[in-house]
Amino acid sequence: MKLQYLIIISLVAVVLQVSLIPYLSLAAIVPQLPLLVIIYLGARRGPYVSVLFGFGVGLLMDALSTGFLGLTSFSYSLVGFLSGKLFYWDVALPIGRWALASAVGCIFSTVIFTYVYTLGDAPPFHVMLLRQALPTAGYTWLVGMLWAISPLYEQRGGMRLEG
Amino acid sequence: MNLLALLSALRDWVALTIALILSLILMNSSEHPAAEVFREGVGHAVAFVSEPLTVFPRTIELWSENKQLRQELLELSSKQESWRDAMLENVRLRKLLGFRDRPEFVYLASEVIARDPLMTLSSLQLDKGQRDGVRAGQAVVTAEGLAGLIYRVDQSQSVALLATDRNFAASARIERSRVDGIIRWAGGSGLEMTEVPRNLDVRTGDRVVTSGLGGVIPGGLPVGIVTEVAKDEGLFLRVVVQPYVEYSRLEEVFVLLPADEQEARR
Repeated sequence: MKLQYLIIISLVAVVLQVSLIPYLSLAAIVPQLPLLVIIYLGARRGPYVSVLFGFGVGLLMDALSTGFLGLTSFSYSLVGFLSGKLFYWDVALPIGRWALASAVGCIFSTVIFTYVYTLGDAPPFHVMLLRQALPTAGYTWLVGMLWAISPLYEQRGGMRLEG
Repeated sequence: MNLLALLSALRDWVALTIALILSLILMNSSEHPAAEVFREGVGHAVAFVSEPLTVFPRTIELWSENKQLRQELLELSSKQESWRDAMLENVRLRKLLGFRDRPEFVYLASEVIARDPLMTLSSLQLDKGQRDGVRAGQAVVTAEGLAGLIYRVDQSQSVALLATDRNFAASARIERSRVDGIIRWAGGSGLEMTEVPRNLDVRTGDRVVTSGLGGVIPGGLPVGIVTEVAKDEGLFLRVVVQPYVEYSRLEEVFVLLPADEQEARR
């Protein structure tokens, strides 16, 4: 898949995150679509591309929130790198590998975000981890798995992303 | 040449290092004016694209809300007469006691054009800005009660900080016993009332409203209901509050503008 398509997909994910995805919220827990995109990019394009996209997408998300600029770009860069290093797969990504990559990526990203977010301030790390971070990671992973078992994954997940 | 080859071989690590260093620099300069300009630009661009996308789900939600509001309107109409009597009596008594009239507010309806993309869901982008009279620090409410505060404003848009942000704090009161405290986010969708001494009267089921102390947020706005009162170690109670407002599903909100300022603008 060409670079410009990856940019469009990333931008669409961010736009959906601020517009339609909040309608899927369950008890104030919202899945993180851009995070899934970064994890997937890591698993299909490797760490270099996913770090660049992780930084860019994270920066956009920071700009759209009231939090620190750079916090999400920090966690997304790390998760993109991790996903690329641990789960890079040159050919069609098997569902089991995607399940593991997305689980590790979601937990890692939300924990890193929560740790930095709660540094020296309320609510405490463990409270936010239990009430916000882990439920968000779980819900995001579930959305990723729903995509993986959909026909869309068969068509797009099997594509080579080089280009 | 060797250095280039080395950098190329280690490009993953180099990219990660640069991305992390840039992120740390940005974290330290979040309040820089250039950062604000960047946020404004991105906010406008994304809102321009995202706003039309929400029309369909918003229409569905408005349709069901409309049905519910019609029902409530019927019920409220029947209560209106008795409330009018009580209000007139209140005005008379306040005059007799020489109380100063509370500052009045104008409710400026505002649509949510984008939401916080982070998992903390702590802000909303609104379609009203300085030219509509919106200023930082003004209260943001819904029909259910207090939603948050205006945090950042530009000419045509503003960003509201929700009560589910760790930086949010508002003076609040237990309606029944008039016990004061500070309402803050407690993680997840819950709130917590802090600075409530252990010996004061707070019970599960009590309504929490804003107290108006501090002069930023007017008093009497519903906040939530007490769901747990615990006497932890220390001098204060731990009061868990379930908010009335569902922060993740806000469609429209009202910004409370001072009535005198609005008069002057006209």
